[in-house]
Amino acid sequence: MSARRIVGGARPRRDAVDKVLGRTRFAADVRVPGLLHLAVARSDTAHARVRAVHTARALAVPGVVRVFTARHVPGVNRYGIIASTADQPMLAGDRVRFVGEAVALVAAETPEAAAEGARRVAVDYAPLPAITDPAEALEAGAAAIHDRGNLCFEQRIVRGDVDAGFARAAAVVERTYRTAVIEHAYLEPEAAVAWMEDGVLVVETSTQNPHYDRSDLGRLLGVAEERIRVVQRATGGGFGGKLDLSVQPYVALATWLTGRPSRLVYSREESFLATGKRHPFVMRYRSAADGSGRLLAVEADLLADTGAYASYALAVAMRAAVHAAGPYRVPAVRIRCRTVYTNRVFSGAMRGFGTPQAAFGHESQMDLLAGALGIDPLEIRRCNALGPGDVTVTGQTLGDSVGLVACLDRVGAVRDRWARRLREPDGVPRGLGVGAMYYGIGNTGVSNPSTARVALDPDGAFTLFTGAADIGQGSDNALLAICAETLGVDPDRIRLVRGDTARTANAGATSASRQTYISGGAVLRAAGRLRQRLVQEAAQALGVPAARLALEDGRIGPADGSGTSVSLAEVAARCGGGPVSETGGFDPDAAVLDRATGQGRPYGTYAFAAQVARVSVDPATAEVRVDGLAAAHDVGRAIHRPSVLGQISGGAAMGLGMALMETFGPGRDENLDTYLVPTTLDVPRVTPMIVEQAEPTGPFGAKGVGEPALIPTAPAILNALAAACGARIHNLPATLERVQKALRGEEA
Amino acid sequence: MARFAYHRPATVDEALGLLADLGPDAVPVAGATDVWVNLRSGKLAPRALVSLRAVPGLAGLDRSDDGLTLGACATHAAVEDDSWIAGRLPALHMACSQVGSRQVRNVGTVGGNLCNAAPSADAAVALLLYDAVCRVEGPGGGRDVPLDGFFLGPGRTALAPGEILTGIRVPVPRGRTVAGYHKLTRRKAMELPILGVGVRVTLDDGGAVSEARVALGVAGPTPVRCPGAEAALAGGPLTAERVEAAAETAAREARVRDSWRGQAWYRRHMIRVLIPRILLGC
Repeated sequence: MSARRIVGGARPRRDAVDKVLGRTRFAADVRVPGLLHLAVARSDTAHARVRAVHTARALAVPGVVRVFTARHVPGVNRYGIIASTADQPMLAGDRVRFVGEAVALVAAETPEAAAEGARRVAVDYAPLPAITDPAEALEAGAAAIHDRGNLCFEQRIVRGDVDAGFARAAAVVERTYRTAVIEHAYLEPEAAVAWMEDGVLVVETSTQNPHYDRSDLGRLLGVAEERIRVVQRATGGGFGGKLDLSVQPYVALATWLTGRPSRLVYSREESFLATGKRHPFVMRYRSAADGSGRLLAVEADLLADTGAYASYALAVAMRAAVHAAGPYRVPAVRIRCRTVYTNRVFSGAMRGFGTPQAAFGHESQMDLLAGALGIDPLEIRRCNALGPGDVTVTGQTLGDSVGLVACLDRVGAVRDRWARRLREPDGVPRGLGVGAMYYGIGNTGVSNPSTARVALDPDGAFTLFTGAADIGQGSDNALLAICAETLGVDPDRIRLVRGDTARTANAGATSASRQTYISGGAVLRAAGRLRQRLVQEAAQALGVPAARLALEDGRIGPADGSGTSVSLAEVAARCGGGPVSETGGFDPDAAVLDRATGQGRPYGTYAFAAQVARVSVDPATAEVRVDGLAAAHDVGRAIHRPSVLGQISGGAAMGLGMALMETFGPGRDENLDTYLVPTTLDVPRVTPMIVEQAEPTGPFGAKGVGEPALIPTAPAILNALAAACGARIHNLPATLERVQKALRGEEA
Repeated sequence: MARFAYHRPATVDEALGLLADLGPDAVPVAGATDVWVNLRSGKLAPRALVSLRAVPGLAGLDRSDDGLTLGACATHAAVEDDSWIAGRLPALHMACSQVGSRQVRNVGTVGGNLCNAAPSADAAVALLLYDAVCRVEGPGGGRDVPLDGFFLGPGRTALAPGEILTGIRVPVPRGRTVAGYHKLTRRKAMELPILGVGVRVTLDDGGAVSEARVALGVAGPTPVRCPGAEAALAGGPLTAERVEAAAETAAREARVRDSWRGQAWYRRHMIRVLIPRILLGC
């Protein structure tokens, strides 16, 4: 093969021009004649027994065709992406558990009639006490939100002699940190359209996981998966919020029971009200270090509010616990993370699965230890940083792809440059702060394979079949690059069939920063096998040993350029004329964690990162400006550099929102006028830096970057604020009032 | 969203005639940036909108030695882009330049900002500083209403049913003047103020404060002037003591509240901080 030209390059993305020109068709753009419009009637009470749902007045609205309630759900009225904790009804049965829970579904000839019908659904509730605080939910005698109790899931990580570590510490810091409920706020609200086609229910939707959607739709409807086809439409962002089902069960139910096409698109208000959020955490940390700054022990007790339903609570608890001590060598840990039910809209997956919250804790602790010991914040991280061959808190020995020190060095150089401009004679408090992280790629402690297929078509072009949902992050582009590089052809010669359960194999969720590493691995293997088969076929045709042949620019011939070659179309013809295809799979080397100690090998590989923030604070008003963000990320290998740089910059913007302004108030925030996300004027120029510590098990050395991009940002900004103000903020977001208190020297 | 008729009268008289005919079921609109939000949420469900955008002259800026006459449909962007206003009425320029985002400013109008009568109206606070006078036309003829008496409560103005705001007269202060508006927000665009603070001080030839105006947004049910603070500034030279006394008085008298956007203690403290900042640059 020639020198790699595509992997590591910067070609324009295949979807770019259509998106810029507004030609991309999202699920809400799909028009089907004769469709039913849907509207969901929702609970206005946080916790109640449902005595009765009265639908007669809704059915009387002209244009309303049907009104569905829980009793119409033909299958098991319970879904959830993690099967062992699946507990969410698509339409509430005898109980509602949060304001906004779906109670009835109205299908009508017009959107107006559907909405009016939904308004006229009357529910007879018997109120139950509503719990809004997770600590209260765990108290003895608290009302049980689910039959199994209010503790949804608990993960412990126990390793080493924690008490001995604290006993011989030169510095111990103990603090409690709190984070806020955060809304994903993707550009495209949830949308789906469904229709029947030859006895098969087709659902086209905005999703991060079409294959999961199909399996839970099958359970809800009580039909075999083969009778359902889910097609992922172009998706305008997900950030974890489109891993759960949202609108899909409603279009599926309406179409399945009426035979008519149906459509449901959430308004922004409904998206805020009814879909998952980032778990708010309360985190008590106790950390010990010796006189040189080496960590001796970390104790962390993390309590997360998962709201009314489990969704991804199990994964969040596991991942937050595994990452709670940060990307450091810590000989002794006692970590516990609990996710707890309350009567609030459910929390689920959001970019980082609890790791961004934990990072705020462990990175604040690192700065406090550094301060107590008089050590530079970068230096204390460097001397504790995980390196190749080190052992993590779960007892996993790391391989070679551990680029944390390189990341710290890269941002350290920027920090030193910025430090020279820090003290200006204008009296403006300025500060620099560091944040670091590691992040396991793929699902925690479970098999999470992906399968891909690559075919040579009769015309000599290829088709890549992948179930991996591209939600805007660019997995299409990355997978095509891996495929093209392996086959030695231009990516433009590869057709793409993506995210269609009828045509592609399960690639698993687009989450956990896993698609480049895992689906990329599957594509690499499928393309590699196909290449091998084609070269062997050509070897027979040419009478030349396969070992001497190369596939280059659509032809197979001697690698040294001598003699004749055959075109791929000729090879295809030799193989019988139809498409020639090969399948490949990859499943990272991960294993289940010990239930009691959390020891084990949760992930195949880890990404690493460090970021530095530069902030200035108005000394009187406490307005904060983030003047700079430098972000160095060890991604293993950048498959498509602009996409990696884009992920880093976008993640930093999201992290800035988490640090300074984002907090969701149920009943208060219905839209983006009151729920504030950063605007272009709030986000500084981000300086993204790519560190490439190749991962041997990754395609061309690649790992992942989607979630890591966000994780160190809020910690870096909060540490910079502490440096600027002289007092630390322990509660996110850092509102004007909290910064004002910090400026006065009060801890906030 | 309920259906409604959309009228585009070509003259003020035609607009008044439509409003008279349609009665309380019709809502006059200019940029509709506030009205639209309420239509979408269902808070407003009029049978008709009467757009004033097609009325010639209502979007104009008329500059003269005496001052500025803003057509009620002049956009915030038109004010933002006007260097004459920036030079002579800087607080108005600052306020209009910070409304929403450029996209909102391209559509939203100063007149609409006043008629919406929100306590957070940026332009209203600035216009109070300049003793602006509203020109109102109605079925019974025209009248002038000083802006100081225009706001009756949140969302309520002195406009009688069937009346419309057609223009705003803004005198240019005579004499050496310091004026400014500070909008305090949690993010740097697309947000209502936590607090809006406007101050104007005009000096006589002897250097004494001849006119002082202090106005606040989100410090009461409407944009308000602070007479106590104005009195504290007036009558002598502009000294740090006078400014501090004015700031203290304004902070004490302000009817600030706790809300999710900001807490009362912080708002009160910021009044104390921002009045000196505008006047003394500190």
